[in-house]
Amino acid sequence: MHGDMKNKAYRIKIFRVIQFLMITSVFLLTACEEDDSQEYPDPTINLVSDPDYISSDAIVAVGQTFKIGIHAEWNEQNRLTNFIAFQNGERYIDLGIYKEEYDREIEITKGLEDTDEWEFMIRDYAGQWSSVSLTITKNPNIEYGEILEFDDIRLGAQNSAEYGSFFSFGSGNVYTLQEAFSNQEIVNLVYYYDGFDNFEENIIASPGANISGAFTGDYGISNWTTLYTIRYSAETLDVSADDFDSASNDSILLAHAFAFESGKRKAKYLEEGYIFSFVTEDNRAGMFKVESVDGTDAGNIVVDIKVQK
Amino acid sequence: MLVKKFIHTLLLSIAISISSLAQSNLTGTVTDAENGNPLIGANVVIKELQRGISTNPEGKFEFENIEPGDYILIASFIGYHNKKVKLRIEDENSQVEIKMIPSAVEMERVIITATKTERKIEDLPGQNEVLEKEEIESFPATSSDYLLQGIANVNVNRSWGIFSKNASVTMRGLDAAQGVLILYNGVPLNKTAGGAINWHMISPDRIERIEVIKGPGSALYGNNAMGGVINIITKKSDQPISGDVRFMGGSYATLGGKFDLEGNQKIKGKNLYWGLSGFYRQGDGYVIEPKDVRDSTDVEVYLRENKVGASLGYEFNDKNKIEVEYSYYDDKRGDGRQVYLDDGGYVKYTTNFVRTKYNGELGKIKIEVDGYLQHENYYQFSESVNQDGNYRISKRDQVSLDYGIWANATGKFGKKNWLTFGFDLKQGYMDASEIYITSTDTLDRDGKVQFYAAYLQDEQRFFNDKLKIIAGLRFDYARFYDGSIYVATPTSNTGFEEPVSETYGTSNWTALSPKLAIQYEIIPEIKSYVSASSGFMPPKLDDLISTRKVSTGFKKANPDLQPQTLTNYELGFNTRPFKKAQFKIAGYYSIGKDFHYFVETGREVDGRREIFRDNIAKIDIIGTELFFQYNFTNNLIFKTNYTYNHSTIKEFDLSGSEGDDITGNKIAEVPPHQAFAGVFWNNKFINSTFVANYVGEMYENEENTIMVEDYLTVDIRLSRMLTRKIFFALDIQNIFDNVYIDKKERLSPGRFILVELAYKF
Repeated sequence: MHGDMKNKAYRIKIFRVIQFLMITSVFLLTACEEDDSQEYPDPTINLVSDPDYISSDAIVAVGQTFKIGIHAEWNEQNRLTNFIAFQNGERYIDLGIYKEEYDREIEITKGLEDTDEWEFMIRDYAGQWSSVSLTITKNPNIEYGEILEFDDIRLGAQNSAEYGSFFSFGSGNVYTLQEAFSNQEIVNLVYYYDGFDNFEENIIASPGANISGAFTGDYGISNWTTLYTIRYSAETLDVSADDFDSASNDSILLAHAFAFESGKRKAKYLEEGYIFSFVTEDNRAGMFKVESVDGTDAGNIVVDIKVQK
Repeated sequence: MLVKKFIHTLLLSIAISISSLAQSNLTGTVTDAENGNPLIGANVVIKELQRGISTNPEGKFEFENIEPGDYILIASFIGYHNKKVKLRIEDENSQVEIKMIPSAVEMERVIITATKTERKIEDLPGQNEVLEKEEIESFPATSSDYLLQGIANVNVNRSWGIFSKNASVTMRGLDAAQGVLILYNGVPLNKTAGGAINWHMISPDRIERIEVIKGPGSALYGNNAMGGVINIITKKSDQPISGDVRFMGGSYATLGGKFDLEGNQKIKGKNLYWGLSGFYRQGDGYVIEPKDVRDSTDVEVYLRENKVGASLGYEFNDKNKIEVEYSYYDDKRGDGRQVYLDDGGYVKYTTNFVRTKYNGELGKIKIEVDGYLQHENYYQFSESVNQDGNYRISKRDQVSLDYGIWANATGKFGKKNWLTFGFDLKQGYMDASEIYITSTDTLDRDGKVQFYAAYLQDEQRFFNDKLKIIAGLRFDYARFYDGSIYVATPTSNTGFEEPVSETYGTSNWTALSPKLAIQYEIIPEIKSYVSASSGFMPPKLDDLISTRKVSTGFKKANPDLQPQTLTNYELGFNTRPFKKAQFKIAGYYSIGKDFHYFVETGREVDGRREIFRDNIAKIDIIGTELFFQYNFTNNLIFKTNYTYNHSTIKEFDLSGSEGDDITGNKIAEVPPHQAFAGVFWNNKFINSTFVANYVGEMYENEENTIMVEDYLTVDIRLSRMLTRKIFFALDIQNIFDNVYIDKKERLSPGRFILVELAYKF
């Protein structure tokens, strides 16, 4: 009897242990579930009213740069996670963030479109969102400037025996290295080929782009005293060949212009059909289109160039 | 009245006293009959009372309060023949000494999975292996897949140790995507969605035995049994009540606890057995990113996981029984990246699993019917900053459901002829959604697959059982339906150019899987066999329905994908050159057809090549495996094995698609050389295990341009029963702290120490 009682007490203990473990398990398994049924307000987003910013519908000239200021705040519950700027329904900026407040200054250069619908959207962690919008209309009363046009300019790579590598907007001539050395004050643009590390880089740059390794010798760029500099867009533009060809004033050049400091020293990986914009050191906007390219260090490239007078 | 009460109480007290006096204690010792050494941890059961106990470090045991009578005492211990002792217990305390006779361990082993009938392992053609409970307990295993490292020709990849979100287990020169069928108490765990299984669900402490069948086994098992079949069988109590509570702690702030409680009660002469178990484990983890590429977002891969489970079985009689089991598993594992959020990126599995089993007999025919349901919720939360500096949060919520029924019947027809037949029905379902928090992308995809199969197997013996022939054939039919994909407001994060709303048509496939295996006993110590067998892997639901960005490009779903098949030809010898040694060798040649590889459509999506999986490759594998075991004594065993696999892509048919022709390349993630050695030594002071595992260098990618270096790890386990009820173990994995870089170019954890303390009752 004593043994049975001992066994019984023992079993009761065991079952209490089980009971404890099961209750603890259920508690642990359910304790972390959050109550997400509560509703919270949407996050807020506003255009900043400040003399430096456009904060309502406006009329702007093509090529004119303007700024828009954005301020967004969370709903005290879910952090802001996504800021999107739409230009005419297309995503212009789409950024992941994780903030309680978000401030952004956007600098925009007015393009060729008659109107641009800008919508700025802020989304939070729970997927709730708000947006603001404004319309920028092209100023129809602006007269656009004249441009220089150069068609089918054939430039040779650094080892080309047939064609020169250097071009002058002022004279409209192509120069060999030796000729360019003598005319360095008017040489603006240069083409060369870089086959280093199997990257076939057809590059258009300018004498001031730190490219002395491609052009050496007595007339080498390192011996030049005047180094004209041009800055280029980072990649080919979303501009059609027809739009480029039909441009007879500087509106399209202004629409794709940028701050000189933000440009690249070289337009790289050039292929037929590519269109790059550029800005010269004396702040002239321009564009070139690649007509054909024969990419070797003795090859050549054919380009059309348009630049503000 | 008061006097009457007093008299009653007095009489009751006297009765109790007399009753107590009429009971006695039984003490005894269990020893090795050959050398007289005490056997520690041997099980001793009084059959009539269903009371059991384990021997202490001196090999002694004691039962208290046994009524006088005649009893049968049964002692069991691994490596020894069971010993039955009849004894009469009188009023006085009794003593007994049980001497157990060692058995030749390997010769005694039986295996069920190979033919779905209980057979001695030596009677079957093939390289099959069984791990018994005592061996399982001797491994320094922190997860159940670890136990398979010691099996020849099984490649286990768990390079982040317990912090890996999962392990891949492959066999016979196949890569991780061309898996192995994993059975749990006879029911499949491989999910239709991706083919993988969640190894964390199975606690090594709950495993009674593991049966491993190598080479294609689809003639009996169908789906996924291309590299082989592994059946994990869990413990079933034969004692009225027993269990343990364990606590563990170790490297990387790893802490955990487990409990097991099980029992076996006789109700009106019929057995009712049950079990309850659970575990919890957590760890802070380590940084998996190599030091030279780390940035501020690389953090430790932490883990938290828990599981509870219950099982119940009832034996109507010797021939009929039913079982039901339920388990719930939940985890959370950091992915090693954190930017702003407290938990950073992580993955989380929540799994509900139910299985039922019926065993019965209908005349001469043994019947087994298994039912199962596995519901898994896989949740992946990612937080990262990409190469362009953009911050990204996304979450993926994937539900997969697999359920089915498997019925098998086996009968003996004639003197030496066994027929096995059955059918297998399964339904697989997957529904995945991806939501991007830092952009507007939303993706949904789902689909279903139904499987129907029937099989027949015949086993015959001739010439006094010297010649054994097994022939089998299985037919599988599968139907993919209700597949769809929906993509809303996509951005460059998901790569879709525009919203998608698409429904896939129904597709189907069939597979016919034959097998013929012949074993011939040259002399009793040498048995040879030849076999030809086939296996197949069904297309994964994820490949049928998932269009999404992957690391190698933009993956397009292929709802017309067909199964991959493998045919294997094998020759082997299983020998016992002398009494205490066992040597096995096998050579095989496998031809794979319709293997799945990525090819290109020729299009680009968001700057990435568009790719899709297709049945494009033929492969071949030439391999050999060697196994040697020497039992110095039953307490000192040496095991070793070596595997060689030459796995190559023989043909790569790019007609109709684009991409690199990788004909002649080695199959990625398959090490040509693998080796294992282990020493298992139990003595009266301590039980010790030393295992070394070598994995040779292998290619990381299909293009064969990146190599994963070879590595060697040495693990040990030291354990001992401190008292009759308190158990202690020290596990050290990778004792030489060999931190290697895995195929994902991440670091392994290096030396990992775990101390375990258990109270057993």
